[in-house]
Amino acid sequence: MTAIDGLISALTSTVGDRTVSYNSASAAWDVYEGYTFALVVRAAIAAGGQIWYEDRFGKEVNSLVFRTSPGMLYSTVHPYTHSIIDFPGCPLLEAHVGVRVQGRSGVLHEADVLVLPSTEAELPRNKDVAPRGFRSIIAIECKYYAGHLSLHLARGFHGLHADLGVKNSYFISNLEAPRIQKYLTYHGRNWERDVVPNSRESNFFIGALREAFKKYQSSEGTLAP
Amino acid sequence: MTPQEQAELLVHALRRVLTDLDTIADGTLDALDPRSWSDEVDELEEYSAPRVGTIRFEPDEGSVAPAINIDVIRGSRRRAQVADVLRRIEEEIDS
Repeated sequence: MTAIDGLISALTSTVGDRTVSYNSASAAWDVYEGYTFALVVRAAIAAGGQIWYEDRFGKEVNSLVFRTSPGMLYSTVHPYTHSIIDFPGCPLLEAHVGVRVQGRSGVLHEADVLVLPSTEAELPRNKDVAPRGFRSIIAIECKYYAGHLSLHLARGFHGLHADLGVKNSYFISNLEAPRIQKYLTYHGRNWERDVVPNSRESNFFIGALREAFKKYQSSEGTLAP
Repeated sequence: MTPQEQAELLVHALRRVLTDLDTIADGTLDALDPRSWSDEVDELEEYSAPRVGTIRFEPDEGSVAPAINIDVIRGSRRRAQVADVLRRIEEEIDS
């Protein structure tokens, strides 16, 4: 056995320990969606909002439960949580992680992070339907990859948002992906790269989300015409 | 691309998934900690917001993905172990 073989064996046995779900391909994506949710909260605070967290049943909580893969907002399998965002004089908003949302075509899509009015979120909770994309305020597609990001991810994002019609949609990634950035820019889509803790780009992204929240406040709040 | 360059890229990718993810987990709870919002809030002492204790990811109906607890990722000694093994693999590749 070479030294490399021995080291790979050591790596496999360390990573293979099931006390942490590193061995799940989806784990990285889930944690990255959680991080993006935190940036949304941060942007809402920066835009003057008050924040608290509720579970599916309206109970205020401070331990958060998100889905490992996208599900229906009305699901009661676990007490999935979301944040409530309260801007003075505006209808309440909710930020969710990993939920299905309905496009204009009637087809269901997945939103990694979705911000929508509480009134729109009440609809699925009460009637077991998906919220409507065109009523939503922010949708974020989160891509955490170890290596290359393929162009088909950008094509998928562009097509998805042509159908969803969410007011502010963003494609973010932990890596730089020049072809994706070029494609999305050409099609007028918002993107940010290198969105990871302590990066300048994370702060830029919070700024972009804050702008979206400011627009919401001017159109729906006391500043509204 | 040479075999050595391919091996280096592979180690780099492993590091991104296996150890950088811990940084993302840390960054998530840090970003949600109201004590870190001084840039966003004028009078932090008077701002009332709940402090997030932990974050779990649980499979919804029809999903078979394993549950994840962000605290376990953050508290694990594995980060140091994995980083050490990856560093030694890199040294072997370079030698």
